[in-house]
Formats: sequence, C-alpha cells, structure tokens
Amino acid sequence: MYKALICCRAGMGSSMLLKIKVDQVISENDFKIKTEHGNLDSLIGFNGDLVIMMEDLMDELKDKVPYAIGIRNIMDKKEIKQKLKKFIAANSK
Amino acid sequence: MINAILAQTRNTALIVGSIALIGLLLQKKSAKDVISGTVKTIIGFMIFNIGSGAISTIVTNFTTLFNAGFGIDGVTTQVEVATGMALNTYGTEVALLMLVGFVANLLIAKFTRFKAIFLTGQHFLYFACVLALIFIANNLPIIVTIIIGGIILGFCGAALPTICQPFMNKITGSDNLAMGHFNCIGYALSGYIGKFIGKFSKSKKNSDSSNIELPQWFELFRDFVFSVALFMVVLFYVAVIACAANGQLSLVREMSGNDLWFIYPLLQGVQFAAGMSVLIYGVRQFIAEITAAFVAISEKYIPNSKPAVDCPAIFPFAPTAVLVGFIGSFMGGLFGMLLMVLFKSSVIMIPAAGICFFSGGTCGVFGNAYGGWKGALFGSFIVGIGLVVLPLILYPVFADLGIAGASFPNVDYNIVGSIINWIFGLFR
Repeated sequence: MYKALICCRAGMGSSMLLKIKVDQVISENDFKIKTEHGNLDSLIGFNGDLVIMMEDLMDELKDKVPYAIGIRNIMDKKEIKQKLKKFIAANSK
Repeated sequence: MINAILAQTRNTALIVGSIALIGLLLQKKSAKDVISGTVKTIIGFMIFNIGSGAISTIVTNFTTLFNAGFGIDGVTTQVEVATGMALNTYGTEVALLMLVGFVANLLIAKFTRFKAIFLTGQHFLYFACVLALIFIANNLPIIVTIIIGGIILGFCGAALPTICQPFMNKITGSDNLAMGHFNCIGYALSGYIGKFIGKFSKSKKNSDSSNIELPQWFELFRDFVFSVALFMVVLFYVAVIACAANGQLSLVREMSGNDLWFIYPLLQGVQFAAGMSVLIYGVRQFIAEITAAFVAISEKYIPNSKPAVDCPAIFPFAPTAVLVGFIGSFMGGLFGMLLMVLFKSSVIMIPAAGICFFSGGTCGVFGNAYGGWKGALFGSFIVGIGLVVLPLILYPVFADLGIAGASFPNVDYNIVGSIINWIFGLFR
C-alpha cells in the first residue's frame, strides 16, 4: 500500500477537491494507494511514497520529495489515472 | 428541558457535524466511515475555534497599536479572522444558512440553467457569514435569515461562476471547470480589462506572462502561511513605529510586557501566522466530509452540473500570471489605502497576504487570458483597489454587531451584500 500526500498552498480548497478526485480514480481502478491531504507544512516529516499537487507547485517541490505528480486540470480523471499508473509502474517492488 | 436541548443545538460544532452526518448517510457509507467522518468534522470545527481564538487576541493588539499610532482604525482584510468572529457569536445562524445554501445550490443547478456546483467549502462558509450578518443587522427573524439567506447563497453558488465561464474555457482549454471563488464579478472584470488591453497588443505571443522572468524570491509568496507571517510582521512594525513617532511608546512597552518593544512586533506577527495555521487546519478538516458529500450528491443526481472549484485549480495554466496578479492587486490595495487616507475615511482597510495571492493571483490569470502580462497587471490592480475599498460599505453594519478589526474583502460578498443591505434599508 503506497502512502500519498495531496497538498496545496493553503491546504483548503484545491487539495481537498484534488483528494476527492484522486480517491475516485483510485477506487475506480483499484490502485493500492492511501491518501491524506494538507498544506505545504504537511510535507515536513512526511515519510510516504508520493506527493500529488497542482502542476504550478511542482518546480519548488519536486526535489524535496521521493516522487511528485503535478496535475494540470483538477477535474481531468484521465490525467490523474495516467500519472498514477506511471508512478505505480516506476515503483513496483 | 426543551430549552436546554434547544440551547445545546446552538453548538455550531454539532451543527456542522450533523451536516457531515447527513452527507455521509446519503452516500450510504459504512458505519465506521459515518462515525469517523462525523467526529472528525466536529473536531475540525473545534480546532478552527482554537486557531480563531489565538488570532483574535493578536488582531485586537494590532488595532490598538494602529489606532494609537495613526489615530484611525486599521482593519485587516484577512477573511479568516472576520469569519472566526462571526462564527463565535452567530455560529448557529451561519451554519444553518450554509446548510440551506448547499441544498439550494443543488436544486437550482438541477432545475435552472445555472449549473455551477460551488465546491469551495470555505468560501461558501465566508459568504454564509456575510449574509447572516446582514440579515441579523437588519433585525430579521432567524428563520428568514436561514431560509432566504440560504437560498440567496445557493443561487450565488450556482449562478456567479457562470459569468466567468467564457474566460475559464479560454484559460483551461476545456469546458469542464468553473470558478468557485467569490470574486467572480471581479474576475470577469479583470478578464474584460485583459480583452480591452489585448486589442492594443501588437504581438499576443510576446506579451503572454509565461515569457516574463520574475526574481527567484517571489516564489516565497506561494507559501500561504509564510506570506501571512510576513505581512503581519510588517504591519505590526508599521503600527509600532507610528506609535514611537507619536509618543505612544509607553503603550507598546506596556503591551509587550517582558519582550523588548522592537522584538514584540516580530513575535506578534509570527504568532498570528501560527494561529492562522491552526485555523486553516481546522477549516480543512471540518469542510472535508461536507465537500465530499456535496461532490458525490451533485455527481450522482445532477450529471450535467459544472463543478466550481477553488481558484488554485487554474494556477497551473499561467503560473507567472499568478505572481503578476499578486503584485498588481497588492499595489491596487496600497493605492486604495492611499485613497482612503486622502478622503479622510475613519477606517482604513489594509490589504492581506491571502487575498492578494489567491484573489489577486486569479485576477492575474483572468487578465492574462486575452491581455498577456499587461492585462494581468492592470486587471489585478483595478480589482485590488476594489478588494480593499468595497468592504468599507458593509463594515459599519458589521462593526455594530461586534465584528470589528477584520473584514470580508471578496468582491462578490460586498457587491451582493451591499445590494441586499440597501434593499432592506428601503423597508426600515
């Protein structure tokens, strides 16, 4: 089971909706990923496998986390599914 | 006994917990999920209260110092502070109004041509506060406040995002996203300003904001809590220095207690950000389940609805425009403050970090759509003035109810709210 953190700047509006969408994709495809959400402070001490955020935050964060996914369109489940699949393929143990 | 039960139901934490409970039951979630979701929502609201309490002491300190230093009232436009105050006194009315608002939004989206489902919980909450305060200030019975106020809220949630849709489609390149942020009137204005400027632009390609380079350190402002801390520290220093210049240093020394008077502003500003962190953690937790339920219900029963999402959803499409918008709206805010000083307003509204970044940044993206960076800058500047000046209209009404020192800056709250307040005034 992979652990994912979904984050945004304030930790309120966009990360919550992104989490809802990601959870929908995860349950539809039976991915083994558990999600939580928060703001940028939640990254401190995060020991999971994956961080998901809106694409414009990627530049600052991608070097600080094990694996980062940046989403462009928050409502596009195809984009989310494709990027999650890529993560799972890259990390299959 | 009945009175005791009624008094208990006024507990806002329990009310939002019940909203979450209804939402979870409607989704037919397992018993474990229903219980944990409901309890987490109640706890989230209590965490929000803890943060809000921590912040309000500091805001009072700030307004005391600002008043001593400048002789006028300085009011922060940090919406979370005003919301905390409103919920503290009128939590029941606000929570119930919000519940009616959710139901009204769903019904209006189902049966009319206004199809937006407003998914940004915290903005729904803030607007619910504004509406409740206006009805209460006009002495309307609580049942009218909750029902009519709720219907207006639901209507705004379904209809206001629609005015931004043409720009949203241009920005995202698709038609599946609506703007769930209550500055829609401002964003549309910014978009039109961008369009107007775009007509004079020789080469559209060169003026798109993605071609500008901003200094690296601007990226710091992407961190919400840091920006809040920075703004408040600066504001505190401004107030304290004004006090020193005005011979009021003894007041500062008295307030700073054991801290050195010139370190005190730094500590207060950072403490404010600490309280803000707790507050938004709480908000995030208590609207999580409610939003999830709202999404689930709208997706199941209103398939042709348009999700109206929080403004950062469009930031990936023009990230530099966001920063241009932040700068533009901040400058607009400062200009607005200058106007207030020149026109001898007794109250000065001060631009806040969150507003400039999120609301200003979004204006930037809208202005950029047709107008490039010039559209972004000018659009956010104009709306930035509105963000600090418009709250002046309703501020006296709210201050009379005890909500002082902080305000609700978002454009839609003030335009819709002012119109409603004016209509009620005609009947008095």
